[in-house]
Amino acid sequence: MSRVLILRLGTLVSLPISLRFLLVAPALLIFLAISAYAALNIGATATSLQDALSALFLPLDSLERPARAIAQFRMPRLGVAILAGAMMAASGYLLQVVSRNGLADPGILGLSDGAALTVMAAGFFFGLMPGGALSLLALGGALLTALVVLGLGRHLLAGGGIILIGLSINIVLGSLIEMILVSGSAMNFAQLMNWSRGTLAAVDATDLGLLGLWFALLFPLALLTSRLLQPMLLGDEPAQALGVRARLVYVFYVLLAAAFAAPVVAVCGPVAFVGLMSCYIARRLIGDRPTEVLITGMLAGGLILLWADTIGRSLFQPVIISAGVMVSVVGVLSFILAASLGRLQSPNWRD
Amino acid sequence: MKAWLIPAPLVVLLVLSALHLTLGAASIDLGVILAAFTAYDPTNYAHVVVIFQRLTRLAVALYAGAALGVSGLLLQKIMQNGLVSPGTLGINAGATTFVVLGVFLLGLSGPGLFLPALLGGIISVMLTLLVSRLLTGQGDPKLNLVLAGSMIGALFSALTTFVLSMDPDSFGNIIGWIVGDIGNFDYQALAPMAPIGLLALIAAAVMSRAVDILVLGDEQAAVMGVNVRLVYGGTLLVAIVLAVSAVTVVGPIGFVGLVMPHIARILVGEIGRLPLWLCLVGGAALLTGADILARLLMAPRVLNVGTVMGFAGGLVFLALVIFGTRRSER
Amino acid sequence: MRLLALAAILAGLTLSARAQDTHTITDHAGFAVEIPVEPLRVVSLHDWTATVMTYELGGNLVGSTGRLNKTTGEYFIRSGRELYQLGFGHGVEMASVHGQLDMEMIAALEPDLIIGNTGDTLEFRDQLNLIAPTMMFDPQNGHAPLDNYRDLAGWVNRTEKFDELLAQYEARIAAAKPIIMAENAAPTYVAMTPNPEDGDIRIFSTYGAQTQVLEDLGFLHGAIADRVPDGEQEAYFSAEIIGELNTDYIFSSHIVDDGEDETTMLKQLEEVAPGASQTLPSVQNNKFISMQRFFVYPTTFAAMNYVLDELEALAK
Repeated sequence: MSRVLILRLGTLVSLPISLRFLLVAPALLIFLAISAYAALNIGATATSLQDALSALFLPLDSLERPARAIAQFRMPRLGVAILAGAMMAASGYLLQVVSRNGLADPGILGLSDGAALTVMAAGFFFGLMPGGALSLLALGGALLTALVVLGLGRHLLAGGGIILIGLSINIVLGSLIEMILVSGSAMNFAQLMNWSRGTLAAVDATDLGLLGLWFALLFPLALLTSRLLQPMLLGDEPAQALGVRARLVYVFYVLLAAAFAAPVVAVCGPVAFVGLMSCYIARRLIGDRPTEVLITGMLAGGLILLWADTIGRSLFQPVIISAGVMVSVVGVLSFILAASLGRLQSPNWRD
Repeated sequence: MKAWLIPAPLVVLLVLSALHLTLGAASIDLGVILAAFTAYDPTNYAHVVVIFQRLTRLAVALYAGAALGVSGLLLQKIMQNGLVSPGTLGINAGATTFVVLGVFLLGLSGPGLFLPALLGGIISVMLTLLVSRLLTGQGDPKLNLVLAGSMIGALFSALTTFVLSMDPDSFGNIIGWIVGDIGNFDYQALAPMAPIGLLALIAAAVMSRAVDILVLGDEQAAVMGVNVRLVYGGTLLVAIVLAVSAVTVVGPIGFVGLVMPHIARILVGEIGRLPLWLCLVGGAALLTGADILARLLMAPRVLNVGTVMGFAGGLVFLALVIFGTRRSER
Repeated sequence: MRLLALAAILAGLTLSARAQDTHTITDHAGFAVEIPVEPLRVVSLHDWTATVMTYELGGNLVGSTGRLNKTTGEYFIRSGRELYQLGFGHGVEMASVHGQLDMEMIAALEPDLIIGNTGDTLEFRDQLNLIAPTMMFDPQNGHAPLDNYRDLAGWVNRTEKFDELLAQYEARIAAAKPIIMAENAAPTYVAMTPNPEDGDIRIFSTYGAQTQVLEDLGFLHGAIADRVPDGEQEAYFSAEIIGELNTDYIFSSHIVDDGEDETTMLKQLEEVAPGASQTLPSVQNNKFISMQRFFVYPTTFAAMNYVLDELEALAK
């Protein structure tokens, strides 16, 4: 374990922080800021640095194209990318803690597909719906799936059986989604396929607002309760022994994980593997301290989705590769890279 | 040796096949169906339907089911992992991506797609093995393989999605194939695939003893004079060829390869040639049964058999995980 | 920075100074939208409906979505290329790749009216509305295709032109009827394409200009077309239903670019349903007719005239 700095404020607060986290987190934050600024300058139409600056700092009404286009389209899009990535990472990490398995992820445990299925079924039966209602529906779907998966898998935690249960629920949900997919024309099929992998093409400021609201609500909650993560990692009995009401905390975290994932799925579809990859990378970077992993993972998740979307919409102009497809490709490749680099110093993950 | 297990699955298969022949969009009397076989009249359209549409469709279902079933058994045996199958290792997804690329870039069709599909299948297995090695230390190694397979599967199906989105109109005719479907027309692709599959099946039967020895462990096998690498690699290749030949014909249909070996194991264990036989016949029966369901569940709409397999297979997989783990806990 | 803001405000003032007269119209998705009476920069997001219709009526079209031609690497306007030799670069620019809307590209065309397609672009409506008032066109809303076309004519302020073309078309139908229907006053027909990949048959309840002209002439569609689910244009049927294709005529379509012609379609039908050519009356009587697919896709007047040309040539 790396060196630890203890932050003390009087006698009440004492926060141990690893030096590594103090180095890595700000570095990621700076990189995220630079990436976001770069992404703001990349797009279908050529824009100057001046345009990006005025889009950032001047009121929308006073803007002319192309600065106006930056403010209206690029800014919400990259905002959503960062928030969605971070929220998927948070959801993934909470699921990893409650399932005590480093491979959990809202996609793998079926939460995303559960949310996607409710969203698609709603669209199929009732037509277009506003984002707010959709995210509540998605929450319902995600929560239901989470409870089924974790309920069935609770006594299978040891062998990682919960992942298998997630995968099998995933397959069942996937085939239900497929039934909806093939009921339309070829064009609809391709479009729905794209959405079912996750895309940021249709996001706007309203979506950003919606995600922002959920984020503002959930992130402090996750931070405030993050001291409960460590005991949960140890298992039910040790947690009880430390005075944590394990069962209650368990349900709370599942709820929180579903709530992090659901609005993301409602806004941009089930982006798979972001949670898994970003937390994996985070642990490789800074070790095992739960609060630190949570924050670092969220930063990494935001970065992954931001770059996936930016590359996807600019690399093959005018052809656009949707972010979900890009995440799968770039994400899996970078995961392989990170994993092979990380093997040099692998911290132990309890399971 | 449970001798009755040799003919019994055949009987099941025959019953399912007969049932399969009676189902279709047009209603045809049993007598007419029989007459189509005994006294074929090419000017009677009902006879044409029975022979050229139903029988051919049945042949495709039988072949694909058998090939996938045996492929799954081989994979589960050499990897000693009850969770692997052509679907869970990403073979199906990899083959699909390369087929779609072949259609899009090279304008290939029919049996010409076998080679790209095979390439896709081999690449995906290699990637899956690579990723699973990287995941070591994250828990159960058997699980890592499945997880790696699902990651590689996601990678390839993302690529498929992208290629599809480039020009959806030009893929209109193969949408059914992409989700895994037995089209009336698949028998044309079957004709060139069947000899390849047959060769692979013979190879599987010949290597069966060597594979059994491999199961005892690498060292033991080496002592008994088995070239471990050769047998492992050979079996893997045979399994991939079988799976890919089925995928080329019907598209990515999962779960036959996952579920059949388990059923065989419950009935006869996994040593010897009997499980191979069970997976061959049972796989064929399973897919035929699923195809019957696909036509009946939401009739007159025909569902894709891949979807039905996915749904039913997912539930069976779930049951396997729950009960499998419980048993091992005892 | 302050100077910049001032410049921007001034720009905003000049923008409102050339504001146009507007009126409010309800589009096919049910939204009441305030649009210019005479739109000067129309961007269409669907090539073979809104684009070709706006173009045919002489509307002020400045942009359209396009599709990639795999062999040349160039982008084209489906049915615009075929019926009107309409391509990108001569006043009509590419607004996005079909199915992959890029808001920045659309915004760069500075439209004052965007025409989307309910099926493809409804989910982008909020964003599109930030650029310009957006009308959703829905060719599959169950209304008569020409009524929908007339709606669109109103959106781009070309109703007069539409009525003029409609009158010409109706006159032509009246003149063509005695020629085409000489033998049979109420022939039956089925519109279909064989699918040789899967071995099934695609039956159309409506198929662009093809079925429009046939119905206007007084052709009666076969019973199988009624089995296409409501609200859908087509359905796949197993080749086992081939017996129900016993209508006087069978109409199909082919893609010339893929080297197809009528014989190809007949061959495909025979592949899908072996023996069909022997049993189907239309094939026996030389009444299996295939037309160029992207010429008959839209229900524009040029497309309908093409169908009439084909039918008249056949009758002679």
